[in-house]
Amino acid sequence: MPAELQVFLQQVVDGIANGSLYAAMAVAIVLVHRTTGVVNFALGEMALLCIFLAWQLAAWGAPLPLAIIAALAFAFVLGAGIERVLMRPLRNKPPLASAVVALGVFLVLNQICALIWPGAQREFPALVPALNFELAGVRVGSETLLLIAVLAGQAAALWWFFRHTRLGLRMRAASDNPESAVYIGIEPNRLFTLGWGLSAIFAAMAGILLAPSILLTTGMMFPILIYGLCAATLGGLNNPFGAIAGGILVGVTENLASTYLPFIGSDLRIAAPLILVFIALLFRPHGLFGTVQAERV
Amino acid sequence: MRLVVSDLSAGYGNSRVVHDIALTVGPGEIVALLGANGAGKTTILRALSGIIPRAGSVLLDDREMIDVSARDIVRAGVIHVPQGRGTFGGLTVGENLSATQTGSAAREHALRDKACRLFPILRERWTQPAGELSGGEQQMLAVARALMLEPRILMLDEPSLGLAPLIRIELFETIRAIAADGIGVLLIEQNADLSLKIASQALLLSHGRIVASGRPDEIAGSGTIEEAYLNHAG
Repeated sequence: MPAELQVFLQQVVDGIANGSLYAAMAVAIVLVHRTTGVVNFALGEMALLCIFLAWQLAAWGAPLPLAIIAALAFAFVLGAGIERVLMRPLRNKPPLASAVVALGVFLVLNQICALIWPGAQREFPALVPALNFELAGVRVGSETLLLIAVLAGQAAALWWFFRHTRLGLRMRAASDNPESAVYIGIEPNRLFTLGWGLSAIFAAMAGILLAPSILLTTGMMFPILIYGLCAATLGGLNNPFGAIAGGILVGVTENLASTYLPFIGSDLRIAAPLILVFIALLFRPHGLFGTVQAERV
Repeated sequence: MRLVVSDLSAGYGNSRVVHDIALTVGPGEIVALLGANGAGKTTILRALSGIIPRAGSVLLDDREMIDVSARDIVRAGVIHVPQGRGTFGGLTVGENLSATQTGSAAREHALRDKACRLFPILRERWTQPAGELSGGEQQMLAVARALMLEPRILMLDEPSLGLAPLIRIELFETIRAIAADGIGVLLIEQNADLSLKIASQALLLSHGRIVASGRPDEIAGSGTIEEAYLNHAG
């Protein structure tokens, strides 16, 4: 295989791995937005708190899988609790009110992490043994394979949940037409709380998958949130599968741009997906896979 | 199942829109609620569904439902098909029907088959998003969705609104068939002639109060319908 093609494929594979993280965050953003219309800027810091919690439990001697499961359970309670206590009273208020509260939660959670876990940067234990596989000159690490496998699992689980379970159908119905849902015995508020809980789990999973590859700091989730927002906007804020595609596109674009466009390099790499989103929205204002609901009268 | 309403009052915020409402819907009966726009017909249905605050008495057989939640009213078998159809536009026809059910898969299949026998067009549109259906098809879907909940009392708010005359007649024949199955129907309809043709009982509402009630032929022959509509307009 020519060396140029090998470099290109390597960048694509690495981009897919990064994109899987962005996709998981984007799915979390979409789950909240499509059920309650809120862009939850606090999702990154909610994930941060869960990462530190998992790290702490592991540091105290808990087996890593158990620590992660406990952190994901905590994420669900945190997401559901924020919806119930802070967001529900703002349901019929202007969207800016929810956005401002979400930013407030972002700051509070960040400060809580800084207070509880101050000082030195921490290392999160590896999720899988570090192995490298090579195919046609393209290297793929075991953590990359784990990322892609988890994302594929998430996508399949989401598809099955929303298409083939009554709870998933009822969640879609409640977000499609909350007033009408009441007439068939659905309580939209309960399902919105569930949606927030699930989205917090997705965000926490993104964070926990990222954690072993970097040192834990209170600023670690902010770039993932920004990339996740890019991916969700690119894919369509009402389509979880669009968000996954958006995440992969953002990850690959970022990697290719920093490799092949010298003026971008590694410092300006975040600019590439932002430009991609800008161009895509000019032609598809609801995102590449977002839909505007048709309504015949 | 018999729905017996007495002294019902309801409204929005501090304003009472309907007062002293009394009506009865028995199994297999079609009760038509007539009145000009703004007379309070929809408010009565919303009150009976538990969507808005209400006072008085709503007995379902012998069970008092006045303090029961909207969800439990649905579970008790009182189903409201709101004005404007209220289907889930982003869900397919099949998903609209499945989203209502909480029983076993076999029960869901049986109810789906029954609904599709009444409205065969829904089977042809099964995988199409509800938002892309025509007005008449959306109305059929809304009624079919209500039937999936195995109603014992079905409340229909302006089911023929915006429908072509032929489809309207077809829909009213289906409503008659639903009642023949033993389901009590409380029907709001702007087209008084059409609803009186299928109703077994009619109530005339003006300014939030019932001003006349009786058999459809009594109401139609009394001249009170024109009076109520004209008074309200005035």
